[in-house]
Amino acid sequence: MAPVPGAGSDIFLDANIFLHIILENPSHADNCAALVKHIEAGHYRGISSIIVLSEVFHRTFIADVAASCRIEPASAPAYIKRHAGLFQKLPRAYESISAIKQMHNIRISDIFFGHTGSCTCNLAEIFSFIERCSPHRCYAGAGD
Amino acid sequence: MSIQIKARYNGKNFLPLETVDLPTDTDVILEIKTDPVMRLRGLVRLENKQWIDQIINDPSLESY
Repeated sequence: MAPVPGAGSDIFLDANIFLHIILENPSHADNCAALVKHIEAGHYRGISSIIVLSEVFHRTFIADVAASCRIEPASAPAYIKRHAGLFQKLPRAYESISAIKQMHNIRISDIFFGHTGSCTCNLAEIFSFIERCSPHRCYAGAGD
Repeated sequence: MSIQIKARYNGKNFLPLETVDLPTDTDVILEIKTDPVMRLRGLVRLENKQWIDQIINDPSLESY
C-alpha cells in the first residue's frame, strides 16, 4: 500500500464512509475501504464520534430490516417500532460496531456529551454505551 | 443461496451465534473474516441497489 498525499493528517470519518463499506456500494466501497486501510496502517489518523457510530448502527439496522423483511427503507423505522424482537434476530448492526471497535488508529471524539476536540473516549466505552442502549430506548421515539 | 451468520471459534470448532433455517446435516462452506474492514464489507446485502443510496443519504432516515 503506497502512502498517499497528506499522510499524517487527521481525517474525520463520517457515517457514510462505514456505510458504503457495509452496504458494498459499487461506486464507493473500494475507496472507503482503502481509506480505512490507510488509517489502520498509520498513514492517517482517523477521528470519528459517538454520533457517527450511532448513525452507523441505526442505518445498518434499517438496511438489515429492509433486506431481511423485504420492506422499503423508508418504512423500516415504523416497522421496527412494531417488531422490537427484530433486534435479537438481526445482529448485523451490532456486528458493524463490533468491527469498527476492532479497527486501529481511529479516535472517537465524545461530542455527544458536549465536548469537542481534546476530549475523547475509547472505542470500548463507545461500544459499551451502544450495548447499554436497549432497543426500546433507541427506537421508541417521540409520538410513541 | 448465501447466508451470513456470526460464529465464535473456540480453538477447535466454530460455535454459531445465530440460528439458520437449514435441515440437519446440511453441508455448508464457511468464509472466515477476521480483518475489521473485511468484516464490514457487504455485511448487509441489498438486492435493490437504489436502496443503498437511500439508506446512506436520505435525511429522513437519520437517527436524531
